[in-house]
Amino acid sequence: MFIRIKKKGVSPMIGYVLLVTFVIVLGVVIYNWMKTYIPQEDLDCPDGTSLFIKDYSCSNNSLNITLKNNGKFSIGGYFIYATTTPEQELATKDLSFYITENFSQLSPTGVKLTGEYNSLAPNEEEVDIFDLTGLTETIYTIEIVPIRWQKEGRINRIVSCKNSKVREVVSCS
Amino acid sequence: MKKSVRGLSPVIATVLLIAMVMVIGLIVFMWFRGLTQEQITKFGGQNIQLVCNDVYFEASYSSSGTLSLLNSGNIPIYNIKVKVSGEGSFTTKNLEEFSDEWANNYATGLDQGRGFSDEITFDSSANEIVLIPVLLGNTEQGKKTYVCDENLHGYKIIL
Repeated sequence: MFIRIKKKGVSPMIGYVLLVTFVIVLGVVIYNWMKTYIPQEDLDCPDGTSLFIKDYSCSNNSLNITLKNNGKFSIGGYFIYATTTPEQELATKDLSFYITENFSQLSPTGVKLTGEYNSLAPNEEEVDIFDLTGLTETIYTIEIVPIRWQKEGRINRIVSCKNSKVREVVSCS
Repeated sequence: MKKSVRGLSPVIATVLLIAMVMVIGLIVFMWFRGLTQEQITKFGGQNIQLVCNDVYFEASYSSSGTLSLLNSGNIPIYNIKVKVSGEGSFTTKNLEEFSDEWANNYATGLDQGRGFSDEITFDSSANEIVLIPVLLGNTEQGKKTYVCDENLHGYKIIL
């Protein structure tokens, strides 16, 4: 007795369709896995962003700071910190809570300069007043980090200009 | 005695074959998923391992025992792991285990621009600390923390 074996198997057309489907599915899976590893552009201030403390005065628990934009790009605000002990190397006491103009205070921290977004153009100056009545510690130095609003896609994000930090030794009690 | 040599019908054999392939495929898929790490992303789908490269913070430990931290970068730091090394051994703990100030006032971590300062006493045998940033990212299951690589992103302070 002979057994007839069917040797045709899957038709070539179905074979191609299966192959193409496998490749597409595999491609989609690998793409979804790999796409998160594509590095995005790091948000950073442009070189040449600079802010300096032109003048300051302390009197009656009030700190007046005159800031000047001596860089090439407009600035939108700044983070301001102080050291409260002489041996403290890094200023961490946040002074933005003490600014007298409430609308200038950013959340959770930072001071926004007057005007829309990056309002302090090169060579312009701004005077900010800080009421230090509630501050019990003595201030030894002030550190200021400029900030800018920069577009990331459709969102305007605050960008810290960490390389433009300025430090000023002050004597306020 | 007449022996039947027909065996299974081709339809049943095909169904069995497809079922077996599907089961094996499923097992391999589940095994492979377990091998690969769960993806944690931040800022619109960027892998958190890459976000760690953009973390920038400053730290110092003064002679009077004050640990100061300042997040002057653009990435919010959710937590800090402190690795304390000394005399051939080390321990790693979260910062809130050393500092009540951090535990009480830094529930959301060190946001962009925020500073932290507190008196912290380490063991007398400790000779080095490494501060390792921990970030909060998104997964399919919700928010999840990710500890950045100590060697690449840790901040070392010699005591």
